[in-house]
Amino acid sequence: MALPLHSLPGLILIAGALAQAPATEDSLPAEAVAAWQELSQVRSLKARFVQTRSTKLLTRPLESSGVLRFQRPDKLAWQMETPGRSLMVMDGSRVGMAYPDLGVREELDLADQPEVAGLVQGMMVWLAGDLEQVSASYQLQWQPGPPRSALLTPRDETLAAIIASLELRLDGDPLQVQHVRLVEPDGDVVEIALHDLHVDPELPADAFQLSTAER
Amino acid sequence: MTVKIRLALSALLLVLLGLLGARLQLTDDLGSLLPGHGPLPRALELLQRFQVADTLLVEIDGTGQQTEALLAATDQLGQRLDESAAIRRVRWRVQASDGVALQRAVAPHALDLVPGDVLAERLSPQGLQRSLQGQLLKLAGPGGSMFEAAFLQDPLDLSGLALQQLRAAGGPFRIETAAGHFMDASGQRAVLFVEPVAPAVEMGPGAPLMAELQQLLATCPLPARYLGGHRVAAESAQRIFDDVQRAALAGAVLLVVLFLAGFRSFRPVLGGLGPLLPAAAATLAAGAIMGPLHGINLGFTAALLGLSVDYWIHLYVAAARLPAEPGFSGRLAAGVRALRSIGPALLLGAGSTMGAFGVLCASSFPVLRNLGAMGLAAAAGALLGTWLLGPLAFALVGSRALPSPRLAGLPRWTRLMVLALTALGLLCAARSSFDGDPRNLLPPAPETQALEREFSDRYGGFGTGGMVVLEHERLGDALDAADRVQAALAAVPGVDSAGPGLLLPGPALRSARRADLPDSDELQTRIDAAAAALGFAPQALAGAAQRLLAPASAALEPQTWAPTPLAELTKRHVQRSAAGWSVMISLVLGDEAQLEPTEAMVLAAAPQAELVVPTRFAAQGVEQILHELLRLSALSAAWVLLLLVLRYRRPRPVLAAFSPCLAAVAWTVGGMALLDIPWNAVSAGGMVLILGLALDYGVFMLEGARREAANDTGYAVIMSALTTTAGFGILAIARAPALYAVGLAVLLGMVAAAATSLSLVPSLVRGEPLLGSRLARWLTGLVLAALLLFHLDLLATQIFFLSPPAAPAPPTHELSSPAPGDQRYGPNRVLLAEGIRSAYLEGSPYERGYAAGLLTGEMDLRLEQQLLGTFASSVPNAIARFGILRGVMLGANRLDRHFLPEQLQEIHGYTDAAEDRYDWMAPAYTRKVYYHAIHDIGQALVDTPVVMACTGFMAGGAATVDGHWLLARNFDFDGGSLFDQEKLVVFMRPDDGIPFVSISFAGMSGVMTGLNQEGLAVALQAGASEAPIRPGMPMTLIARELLQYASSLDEAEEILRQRKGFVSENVLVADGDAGEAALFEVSPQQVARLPVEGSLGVSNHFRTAGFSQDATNLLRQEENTTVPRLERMEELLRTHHGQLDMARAAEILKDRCAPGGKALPRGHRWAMDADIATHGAVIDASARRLWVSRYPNLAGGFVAYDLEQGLAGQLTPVEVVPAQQVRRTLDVHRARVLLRQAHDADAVEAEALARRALELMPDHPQALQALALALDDQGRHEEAAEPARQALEAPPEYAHQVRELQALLLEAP
Repeated sequence: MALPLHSLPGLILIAGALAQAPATEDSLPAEAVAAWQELSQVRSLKARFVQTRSTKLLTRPLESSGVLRFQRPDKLAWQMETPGRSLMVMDGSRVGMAYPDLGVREELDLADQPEVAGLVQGMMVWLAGDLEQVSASYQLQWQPGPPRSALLTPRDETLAAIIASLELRLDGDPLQVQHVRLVEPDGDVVEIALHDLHVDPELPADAFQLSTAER
Repeated sequence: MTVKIRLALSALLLVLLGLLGARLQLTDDLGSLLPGHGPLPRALELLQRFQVADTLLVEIDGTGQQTEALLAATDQLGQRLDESAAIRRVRWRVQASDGVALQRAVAPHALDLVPGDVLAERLSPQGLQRSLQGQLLKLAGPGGSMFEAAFLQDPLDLSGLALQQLRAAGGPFRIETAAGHFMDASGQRAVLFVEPVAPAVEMGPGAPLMAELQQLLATCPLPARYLGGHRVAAESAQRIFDDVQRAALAGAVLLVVLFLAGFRSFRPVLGGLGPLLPAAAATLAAGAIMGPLHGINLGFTAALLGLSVDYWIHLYVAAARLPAEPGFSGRLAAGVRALRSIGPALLLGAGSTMGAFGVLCASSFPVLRNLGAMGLAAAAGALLGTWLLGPLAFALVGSRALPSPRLAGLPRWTRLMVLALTALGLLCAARSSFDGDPRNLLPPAPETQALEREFSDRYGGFGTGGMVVLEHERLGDALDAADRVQAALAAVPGVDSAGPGLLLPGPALRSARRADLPDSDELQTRIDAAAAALGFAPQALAGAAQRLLAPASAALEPQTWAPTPLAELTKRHVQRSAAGWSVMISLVLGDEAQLEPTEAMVLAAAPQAELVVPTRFAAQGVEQILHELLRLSALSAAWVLLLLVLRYRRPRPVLAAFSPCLAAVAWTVGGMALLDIPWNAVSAGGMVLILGLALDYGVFMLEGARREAANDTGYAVIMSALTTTAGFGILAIARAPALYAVGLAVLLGMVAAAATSLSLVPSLVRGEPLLGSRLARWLTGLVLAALLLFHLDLLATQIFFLSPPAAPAPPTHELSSPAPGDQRYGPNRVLLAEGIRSAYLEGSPYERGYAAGLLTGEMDLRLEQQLLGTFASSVPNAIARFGILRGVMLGANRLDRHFLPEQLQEIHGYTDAAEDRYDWMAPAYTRKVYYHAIHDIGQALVDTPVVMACTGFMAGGAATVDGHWLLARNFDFDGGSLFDQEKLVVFMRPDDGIPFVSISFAGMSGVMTGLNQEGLAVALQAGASEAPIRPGMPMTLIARELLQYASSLDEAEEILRQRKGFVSENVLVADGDAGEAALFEVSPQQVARLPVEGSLGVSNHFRTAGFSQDATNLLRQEENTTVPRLERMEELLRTHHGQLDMARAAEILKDRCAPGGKALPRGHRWAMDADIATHGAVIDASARRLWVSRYPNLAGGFVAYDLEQGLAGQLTPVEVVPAQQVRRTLDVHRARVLLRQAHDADAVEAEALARRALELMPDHPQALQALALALDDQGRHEEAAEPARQALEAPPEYAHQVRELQALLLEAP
């Protein structure tokens, strides 16, 4: 019923950065522009993920795995299977989170929470391959490959207070983000490895509904 | 008096009355009908303050639709309603902002909102570990980075725990969510809460809000309905408005028609306007003087005018018969002469009518007072109007020749008929009922009432049974009192309560919760240990305990919840009042909830609490109104008699004038009883009016007969009765009970009064005999026959009624109650603890019985009331019931000869001490002796509607964990849940024999389940054999003898062989000390012993060789549920072999599966726990311990007793096993009631009832069968096949059901 702010999937970005002067396509290598262009062609995506979180709170890294589903323009489902079940879904401005094993289920409408909206929508930015959005929020450094990588550094101080840097590793055919490394200002690191990627699969209509968390 | 003077006086009168009448004010407040002080208005005020729901519930039915379609329709309707200017707010789903608001509200108070036991569990080492594990899961999730900060703030997630508690408690409403939408439990209906701008009390007839709502609901693509205070208020107001309008219109038309038909002219109608005007003006003026008038009172205005026209009719008829000079002055002279001739009757009649109405003015009920004042004014106005304007009106309109019926000498049969109907009325009067609940005067429409019942079943809480109100100067004190009351109510069986405690625990409770917490250092140590075990870094959670235990930064008060959706809930429970703060706890009372114990518990917890329960509120109304009406009627009758005596001074004319009153009362009361229409405060007030009117007719008729004008007077009486009926009686077409009951009563009364006036009064005046000699002979014969029957019954009672044995002097202890629920009488004691009553009794048989009678007699009265109520509902005819009772006594003649003398002494002691209310049936001692055979008769009815279908087992040695010998059983007796609620655990230390404990009922000396100090456990379960049922020693008394005198299996067998029992019985005996057990299969002809090796399940048939060919025994196995129950029991015993202990035995008793382990539908009779057990018991004979189930059935948990402690008078339970799935069991109870109703209902209603039962008891074969039968009865054979097939798959409970279902399927196309 209730959605605490702290449980939001604020993985990456801050909306304030959108106000910064964006980088143009001209300032990036053609290869980078082409790569982002290719990413932007994806209509839907399904992949398995393994996330490793190294935090000073814990003596050893915390690993989780599951399935990620994305549907253009604004649907995302992050389904964690280990170490326990959880599901985060975004559908437009609605965000829901369920932990079936804990009996917790929470929802939030981003329209009511503009300060959080930027954070959450930012997650879509790299999945959707929206170069304009990415450039608006981050300083982008392109590293030719293979594997190719992009290092994103927040332009905005508010965002920088949460994220020191974000490294995206791109590979495969069609090209996809296959690895994400997020460094937090306090040195904590989150690494997300994607595998078994399926580009443009048919996703079931209820894949982005919170009720599927119970299945 | 000249014409000018008459006109001037009339004009002055009219102007004065008109000025007064113009100040008339109206009100819709039902409270304005009730006295201004006393319990009734207070109760109504509280009900209105807390319960007039200002929130409407809208339900969209998506049965058979895709969930998406239902949710889309709900969103669409929700948005449309939200856009309406008449609606303040609509809620149909959890809003995302709700969650954030709740989170913010809860966070600072989490520690105060979590119940102590839950908090203790969370802060225990294991709880901390589980909690941190959950937090790890969140850290691992996609929001992990953001979650870290919140985790460090609240590492144990107490906010989440508090929210979880709020969510789980749910209050009295049963609303689920799907995709955030509010749904019913089936997920097929969506629910919207609509809060209109205007409050419910402002809803008048034709309120635009209702029309708008209907319009908006009509746009919904799925069926949508709504319910709430606004609908009820608007419908009630509309109904009274329609009724008044229709009655006034129909009455006016009828009056005109009557005048035209009766007088063959329009002239008297016009002429009547003159005398009527002052009556109308006086009526309205009186209404204005009495203050704001309710619509109910206004409804009487037209009726009073019908009454007022009577005097004009008498004048007109009398004047029309007189010879008159032609012209105005000639007719005026005739009118004046007529007025003089009817003057005495007019004065006496008006005097009596005014007297009757005047008496009503003394009522404490404004509704009656207003009616009295208006009636008094109407009669006075009519008298004055007739006197001043009557002759003038006659002179103006003149007359035509009137019909000349012969009314003076009606044939004798008319007199006989009047007398016979009067006698019949008196006979039927005993069946009269009275509805004292003022809310029923204007109930909502039947479809709304049906909807209320339906919603109440589906969502709970809507049919609120009552409330407890606490008023205190300080909020904290009120909340503390509410916490105490709720804690007390948790132990009261059948009562669900919901208060503010969940959201607003009182300061005392909050302090107590904090006091129970570990200190900061200890908690930090625990947190660090749990964190380290899960891989958290050292110091990661440093200081967490200190932060957690810090006091809340803000006060916890109603305002805390203002930004959240829970604000509505807190508003409902906590309000500011003149006294400071009012806190309300709402109660949902189960079918069998007992008010007295509930109130005792409430008052013990908070002495200043007010318990408001509509049913009792109605009962108080009945008492108060009846008392007052008796007083008023006596006053009225005294006034009338005084007038008659003053006028006539001789008995015969007084009787003649009074006879219409007597007949009117008899016909009215008897007629209402025959039509099954209850009296209410308004119609009962009408009785006083009927007396006045009837006397009017009697007096006019008497006066007419005395002046040889009986024909003319009779004609006038007929016309008066008809016009009164047109005015008042027309209210019988009203829909509001407040109006149609009084209309009908007056209609009956007027017909009786007119018939009596015409037929009896002239005869009485002339001194003629009323009856023929033949009829008189018949009547004499009838009376003699009745007397003979009465004496024969007296003789029978001498033969069958039993004489108690000689008794010693009663003990002389003081009865005391040191604490609520704890009563003592010398060393004897009864204690209500943990929801079960237990007793300790000692001494000689008479002393034990006497103590039991004093301490438990009240429980016994309730049980006997329920028992006789069940009997009455099975045999509705009172004469048939009486015959059956006498028949039973004849069949079981001298049953006491089979009892042991000490058993009779005990019963005698009991009946000497206990209060008795049923001695009209038979003396208490006789009844109690015969009641001991009820168990045996019930055994013969195993698996019939009065069910005893017990299942149990014995186990020991290698079968149990510790080698102890256990006896566990369910006593399934479906004689009413009061037998479950009012069970009594009796610890008895007799002067002779072995002390023991028995699970029993008040007033019962016998034993069904028990354990003695020598370690012998005994239980009875019905058996079956062909042995004839003949009066013998009731099996419960044989079991009692076993407990009191046997200490081994051999001794038990010896007693069983010595006694000749009533019926066949399985007697389970386990010896905890010797380590052995046996099942004795006992019939009146033989006893077979089956030793228990390890464990043995027992149900309701026999297994030893001697009974293997017994036809009754075989039939029971084929037809009933005994075989599947036993198979399942044996399966469970095999599964748990070697692991059995008391807890596991209790779990076995609660099993709800078929053989093989497939789950059975709720309430299925194959289950061990079929939700009918009057008691479940687990006895550890070796450890001398017993667990007793708590209401309802086994769902209320178990309460444990120690035999030695109990026998030392220490009755406090040693342990309590918590309740589980109480709601589910209560749902089964409710479903069974619905199925019983469906059995007697017509096919359409039966279908609805069966469907509602199925919602409560899904897949139950009996409910499915009821549905199939209802559909089949409607000719919907094809639809009936599906539930019939489902019932066959369920599976059916009894073999006959299989046959019936198969037959039904064969008939299906």
